[in-house]
Amino acid sequence: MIARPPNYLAGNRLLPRPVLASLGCLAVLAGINLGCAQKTAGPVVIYLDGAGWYSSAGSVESGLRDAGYSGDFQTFSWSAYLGPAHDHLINAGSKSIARRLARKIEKTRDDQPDAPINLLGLSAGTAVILSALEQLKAGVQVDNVVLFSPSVSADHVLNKAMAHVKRNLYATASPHDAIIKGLPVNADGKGGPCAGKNGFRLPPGAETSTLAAYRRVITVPWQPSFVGFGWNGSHTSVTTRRFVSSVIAPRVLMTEPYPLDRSVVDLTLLRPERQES
Amino acid sequence: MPRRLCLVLACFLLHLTGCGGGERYRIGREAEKRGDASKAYDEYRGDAVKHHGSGAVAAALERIVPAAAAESESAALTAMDQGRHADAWRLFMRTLEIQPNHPDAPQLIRRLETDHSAEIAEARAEWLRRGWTALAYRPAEPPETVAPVPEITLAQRENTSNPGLPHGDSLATIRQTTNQPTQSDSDPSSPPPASNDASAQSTNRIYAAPPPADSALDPVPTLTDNASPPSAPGSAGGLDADVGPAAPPADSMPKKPAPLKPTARPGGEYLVVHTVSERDRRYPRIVLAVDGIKMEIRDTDDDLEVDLDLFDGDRRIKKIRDLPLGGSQTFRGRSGVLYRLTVLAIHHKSHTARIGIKPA
Repeated sequence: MIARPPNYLAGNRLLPRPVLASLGCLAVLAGINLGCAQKTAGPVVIYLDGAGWYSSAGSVESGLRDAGYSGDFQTFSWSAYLGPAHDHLINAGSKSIARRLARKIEKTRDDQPDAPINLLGLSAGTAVILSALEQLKAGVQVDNVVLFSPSVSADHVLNKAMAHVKRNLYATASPHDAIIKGLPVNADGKGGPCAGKNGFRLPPGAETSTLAAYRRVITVPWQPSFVGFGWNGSHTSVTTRRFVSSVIAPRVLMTEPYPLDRSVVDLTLLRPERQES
Repeated sequence: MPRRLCLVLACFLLHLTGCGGGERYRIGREAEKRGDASKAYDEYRGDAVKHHGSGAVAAALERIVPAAAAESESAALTAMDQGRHADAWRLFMRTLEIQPNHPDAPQLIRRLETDHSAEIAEARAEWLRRGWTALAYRPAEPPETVAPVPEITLAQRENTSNPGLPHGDSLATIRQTTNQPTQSDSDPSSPPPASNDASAQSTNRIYAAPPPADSALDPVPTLTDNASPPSAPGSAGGLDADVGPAAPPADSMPKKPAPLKPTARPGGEYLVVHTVSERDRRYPRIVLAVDGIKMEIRDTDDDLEVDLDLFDGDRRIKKIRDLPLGGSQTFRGRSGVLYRLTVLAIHHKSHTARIGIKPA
């Protein structure tokens, strides 16, 4: 007896007919939604998760929604899904991935010239954000950038990136962040302490243009009161829904300057002894 | 092996839940029980410096934030009305530090910075020097004169261009001035005032905004006497020592008014003040108003009118439509007592209203 392969055309199917029909309907619906649906106008948030940490987008989105954000929330996948080490050491520094994000931002800006675009990222995702900002075409700007526990160097020069940020760049920092403290190398490949510990540092001998750029770089350092909002100082709890809703969203969604914001320049020039220490 | 496994599991659970907090947590609990929200907040916050992984401290801070922010805002409004703009600025900043998403404080801070920049310059410079240390709540010395406040002021706040956040931009409030004595003067069950200073006979009372989301902690209007005597300096927090070295001089710190007191005077102030909201999740949509009667907000209008429904159990007893700001309606409680509700504030963007209720 010779075994024959199944003849699908003759009705000898692997899947029953109703299942195939359902899958077909789903495919058509997906095509309609993805390809033909009209894009929604309005504010856009693009979020990048951390290295090997793919679950914080939900809480960030919920936090923003709690604070009244009603615009589009998109996640940008930059991970290779080969674990945190691969993401941190290879993908976070990849120029091609950053270019892909830059093209996405440019396309969003082309589609909606007046809509607020906010970039949010966690940990090594912040390296991709900074690299993408540096690769944006001249004249393309996002509104705000929020770097949660940035695992990039505190000495990363932000002039080029800040040219593409209309308002502020916020960076959270915590001395209790064990992951940041234990990193052998920063996600942007640069040396020195991590920005996620004490924030970005003003370059020594900064010129006027650098000062102007860093006046919009604002560190949100961990404070004991943030424990009540869910951020206990750890690396990933900074993306807790309540913290995003209560502390980050007012800064990002508000069009006016937030009163508690102190720029890196303010803190450096007014309190040099603290910076040195 | 099972014993080891149990030990590992216990350690893991302990790590998840955190420890129970330290000495300052205990002091904070006591202050919270006394109703001193600011002191409790400062103590909890101080405890969180060491026990930042503690679930108990986190829960306590989360619980106390609305009441502490309301207390601080109330003191700030009082200072603003008395013309102490630097103090008002400091207190609004503290309010915002306590509750970073406070709906009104950012706008009021900006207004103070615009209108009284010279007076605030020093406080601002001091704040910048302070770094990221917390602003402690210090006791106040009573003002010598009280700025005249109109009998009822409808303060329509200006608009800002924030598309997403519920600000106080269109929030309208009523400030009420009364010459009646405080509750503690007449109600023997309430705690006595901190001092017998003549200035304790306050004249200016302001309903603080917004009342706390957690009504279990502060279910009564946050009524404050702005000319209250100074309390003991022990409540000065000491947070500056916790986080960072730069602390402002004590004499430049804002002053603390008398502790907030509940107002349960029939015929006088509001028995309760509720904030209800259709869209702002910090506030309930339906609230147990008074005497078994539930109040539900249905809608607010552009022209600052509110729609409310009153329920006795599941039965609707009153349908109130287009009640304007400052307007009032009467209703009967389950016990038969007649009550009057008054619209104290409306924030149309978030469909939020603050309603005061007193016996009719």
